[in-house]
Amino acid sequence: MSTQNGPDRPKTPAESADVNKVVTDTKAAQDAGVPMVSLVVDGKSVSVPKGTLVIEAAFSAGSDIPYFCYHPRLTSVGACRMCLASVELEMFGQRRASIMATCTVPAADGMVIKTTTPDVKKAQNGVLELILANHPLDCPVCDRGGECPLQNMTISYGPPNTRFIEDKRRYVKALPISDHVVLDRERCITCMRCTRFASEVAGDSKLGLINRGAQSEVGPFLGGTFDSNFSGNTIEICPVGALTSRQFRFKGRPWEVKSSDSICTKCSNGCNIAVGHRMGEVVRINGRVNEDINEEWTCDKGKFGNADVNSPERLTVPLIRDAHGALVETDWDTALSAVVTNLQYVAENYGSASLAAIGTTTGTVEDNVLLNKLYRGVYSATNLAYQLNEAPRRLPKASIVSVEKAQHIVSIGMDLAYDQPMYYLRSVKAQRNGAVVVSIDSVIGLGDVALTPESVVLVPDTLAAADYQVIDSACSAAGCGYSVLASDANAYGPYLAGLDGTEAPSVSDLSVGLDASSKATDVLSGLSAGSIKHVFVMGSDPVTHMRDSRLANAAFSSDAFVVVTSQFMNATTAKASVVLPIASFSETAGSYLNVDGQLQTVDAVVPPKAGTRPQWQVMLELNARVGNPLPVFTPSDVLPAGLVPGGSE
Amino acid sequence: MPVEQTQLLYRHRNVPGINRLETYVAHGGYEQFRKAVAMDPEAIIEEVKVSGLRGRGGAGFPTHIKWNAFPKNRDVEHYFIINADEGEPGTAKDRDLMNALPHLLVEGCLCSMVAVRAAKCYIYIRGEYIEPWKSVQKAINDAYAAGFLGKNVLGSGLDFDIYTHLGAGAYECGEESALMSSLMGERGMPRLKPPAAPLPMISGVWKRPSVVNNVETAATIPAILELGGAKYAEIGVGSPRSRGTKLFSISGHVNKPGIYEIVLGTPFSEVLDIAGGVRDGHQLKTYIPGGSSMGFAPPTPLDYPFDYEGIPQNTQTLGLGSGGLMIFDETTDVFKVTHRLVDFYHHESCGKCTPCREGLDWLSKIYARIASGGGREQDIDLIWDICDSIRGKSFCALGEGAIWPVMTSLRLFRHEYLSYIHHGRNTYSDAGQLGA
Amino acid sequence: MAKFTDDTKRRLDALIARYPTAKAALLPALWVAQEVYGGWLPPEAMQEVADHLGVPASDVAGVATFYTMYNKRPVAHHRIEICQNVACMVNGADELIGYCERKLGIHAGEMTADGTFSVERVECLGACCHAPALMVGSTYYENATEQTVDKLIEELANMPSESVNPPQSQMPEQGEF
Repeated sequence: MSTQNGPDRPKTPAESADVNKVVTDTKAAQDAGVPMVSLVVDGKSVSVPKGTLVIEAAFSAGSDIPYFCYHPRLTSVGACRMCLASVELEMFGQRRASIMATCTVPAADGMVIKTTTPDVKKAQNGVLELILANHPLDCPVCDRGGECPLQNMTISYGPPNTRFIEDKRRYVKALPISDHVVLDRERCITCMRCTRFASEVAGDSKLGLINRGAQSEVGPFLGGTFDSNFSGNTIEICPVGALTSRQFRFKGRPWEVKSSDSICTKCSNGCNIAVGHRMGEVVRINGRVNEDINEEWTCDKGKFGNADVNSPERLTVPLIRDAHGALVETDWDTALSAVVTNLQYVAENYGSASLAAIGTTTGTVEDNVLLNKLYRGVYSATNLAYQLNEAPRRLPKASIVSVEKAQHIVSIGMDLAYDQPMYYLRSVKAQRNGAVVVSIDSVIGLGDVALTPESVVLVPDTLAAADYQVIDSACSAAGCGYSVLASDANAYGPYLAGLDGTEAPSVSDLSVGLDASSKATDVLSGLSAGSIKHVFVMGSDPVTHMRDSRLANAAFSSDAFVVVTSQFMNATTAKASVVLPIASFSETAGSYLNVDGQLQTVDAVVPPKAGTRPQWQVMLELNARVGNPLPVFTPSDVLPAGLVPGGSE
Repeated sequence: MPVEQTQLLYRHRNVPGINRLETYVAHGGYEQFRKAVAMDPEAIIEEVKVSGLRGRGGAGFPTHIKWNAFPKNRDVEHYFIINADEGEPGTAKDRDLMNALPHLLVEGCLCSMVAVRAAKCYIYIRGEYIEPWKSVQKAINDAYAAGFLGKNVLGSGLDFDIYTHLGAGAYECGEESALMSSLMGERGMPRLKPPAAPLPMISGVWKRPSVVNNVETAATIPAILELGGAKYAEIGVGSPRSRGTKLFSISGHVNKPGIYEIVLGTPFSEVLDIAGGVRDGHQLKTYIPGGSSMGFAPPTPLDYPFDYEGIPQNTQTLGLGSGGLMIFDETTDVFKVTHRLVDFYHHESCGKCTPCREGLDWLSKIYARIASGGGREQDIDLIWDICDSIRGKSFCALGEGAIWPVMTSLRLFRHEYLSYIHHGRNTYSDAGQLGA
Repeated sequence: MAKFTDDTKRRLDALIARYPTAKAALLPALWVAQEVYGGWLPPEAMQEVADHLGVPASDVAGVATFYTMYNKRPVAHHRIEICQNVACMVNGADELIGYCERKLGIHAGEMTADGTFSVERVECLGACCHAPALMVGSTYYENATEQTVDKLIEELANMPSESVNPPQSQMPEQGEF
């Protein structure tokens, strides 16, 4: 017989997330004044908001109901029939109990639910026997093994053996359906989680059901690929090993993979992620719940793109320009000494006006604080910049979460799904609720869009200054305003770190908006004019990213001493005097302000790659070397007072 | 004295040219629609209620209950949908009705549309029924030309449009919610039903009030309006809950297979006689009373009322179903027939739910193994257990219908299974005689 | 290569007009596409339907592969589809199928080398009272015998499929509405 189960059965992280989602929804419904209904689950009375499904009411009552196809963020289909329980209710004037799929039935007053009767046990056993009939049971070579809902439910609820002696359905194993996802149709139990995700959440329907009956299978359009920026989520919600990650394939058993909370820094959205690492190496990225940002999803850029932390292209040795003008490897002490020597030389001989620094919009607030302490604090430098684009500096009017309630969404000059993935997912939600979503390539198309005061206009931070003026006047006329969506993970972190020289900078300043001038242009002009002799470029690549690339090229071709911190070689490091190899997001602690103003703080997940150092430690050491030792042991020691991280909990 | 077989739907079945508008009108056609369009919708529903009409498609649900659940206004579009996706093995009545009496269907639809306050009707016809489809579409076109369809019909101020919608080969689309999926351009998979979802009469196709009725149900409405509900309810010689007449497709080993309109409650032996009796020189072995999903009935008793109540009570099958009566004589290999049906349901399972998808796949493999001599005695219990895992647990009625012939054949003909298991063939039938 | 002509598109638009959503016209649109593409639906046909209806291509594939009458492979000119279900089976359908197989030298589910004929087992055709039944194109042949098959094959052998079987999607024109 099956092992002990019931309310005390330890839940998997995925199950706990589902239960927590139910708790969140219940609370939200209560707050919204949704009427409650009372029912009895396994002898225990519970009240739940009207509309709650019986399986969810059972969770609230602490009962255990196994399931595969149910997912709190997808519409219920009642396909797998694993969540069968005895439901007693009144229908057509008669009160009777019958076995029902609890994921489809809304809880109602007076219902009596029983999840552990012999009939229910027999039904659950029977369904699992059927689910397993054609399943290949190739768990030893399945990446899902060890964290597989089907394995877990079989241990707890399944039959002890199989009576299936027939030939199983056979398909080509391990069929790659995209760059990231491998499909194994033999393992698929046709729960339709992935296909529902594709149509309901990702909104691109890139994965669908084909054929029917016992030959039903999931897949991309015939002959096509699963080219969605959200494909990786299907790997996580697949309750079996049918959809697995090509990147994680055979990288280790799930229990060898430690999971640490982090924030994705691939774009500005600040998705909450769980970084899986094995023996100090990042092996996979999973989504983590944050209802205000990513719910529980990730985009593929975040899920798979972060593998670049393991890239052999990573810089692991400081570089210094030698007498012949070539960048050559050196050690940290030599590199840092060279930086300090030049810094002191320029300060003494040319004054602080000849010093400049460009803060990081991809690193942490703390990195910037320590940069500020060195250049502004020690040397009174004021040529401190960070903004490489020409966008107005203002937090967006529309937050990520607000977009799902919008009725009219206009995105200009972006591929929202790739550039602002979480804004995109909320726009899909809005669209499912009837919103009109319009995407135009450039401001030229704006004239054809009928804006109203309720329109939500989403704009990237990469347009030309003139474009913002066009948008501003169109949106002012319509009375709707517009939202500039930053690209980088910490676009306003340097401001919060004080790089603008503002006393006690705060997030609310950013809601109001800062003056729009881009000081980076001043720095670069100073460099090309020769008035700036020393510049510290922290973690950015102005030569590539400045709109005025001619100015950027000229600036970094000057004789000034250029220090660049970076994880990889790029167009700016190529012109540097000293290049300092720094740790990745997963290797460093610190805080980030995401696109809509949520401050999130994370710890390092793995040690820095050998030879690299976290940026804040580099800055701490430079401060110490110029005679400014700081009592800093972790980045949080320098987080400005008044900045309270909230989002990552 | 045999029961007098009142003919309502088939009264003019054999009139030459009855499929043409002029002939149909000459025989009183569209008179009931003229009457209906002037009636209060509630009065029509009341007549249908009094008539005791139950759905002729298979479930036998009282028609008036469905109709009464519609909103009593025309604030949003209501849809009247005809299930002409006849596919239940043994059932051929709707095809005949559409081929021979297309205007009766159109008139029935029109009367029903008045009752449920619908201006739009879709007739969902299975993909194989090209000829019936053309027949019905022609009738619709002629009805438009004659002013029975279109805008402000007969000066009523009401608009009526009827469209045909051709399926493409999926038995599951005969299930009303799957039919609605298919009508909306989706895979023909069943949708959630009460208590998990609102009634279709509140939120059906395109989330608007909708009802799905069988071809024969709609075609019965003119007769009810002509006779009056009370008079219609007087027809029937069996259960007080089985009123009127019903089309039966009688097939298999009978002398005169065909489609017959039979007064509900007529003794089964008389029904058999109407079809000429079991073919000469043979005896009744078993029969399926109402389409393959109903299961196999024992050869006795013969004298019981053949209607919604009488069949399940006397045969332990699911009942009257869609009226597909299949007669099998002693030459029939019941194991083989059941195997065929298992493969049919396996082929037609939509794949949405585990029990039906996997259970039928497994059953199909077990039957194939037994048929090819690899049977084991424990397979009988296994088949029963698999049926038990499907019964009451599948998403829709297809799974339930699939196991009923399996379970009834096991109950009545277990020895034939054992014969295959022990001897590799059926020693209880002479399969070589099939088709003789 | 797109095969939908302006006329095809006009027919599709007429179908779309019958329903509250364009998606609802998917089944009839696939019938039209199958006709335009010579009796079957290659992925390009599904893509054209998807583009014209504004429905995701994967949804179109999902629907096209769900229904058995949409052909996912090229088909014979004359498809002899014989009902194998119970009423026909107990009236000799298996023997009739066997006869066809022997006569054409192919197994059920295959087509002759020249692509003229195929024999296919199909499920209940709703001709139970006149069993066994078979269907060629849109035409039923009931109470079929070996002689029926002989005559049929002889007649069809030299006929283009269209002259015998009007394309299934050829909708009888509706009135002006």
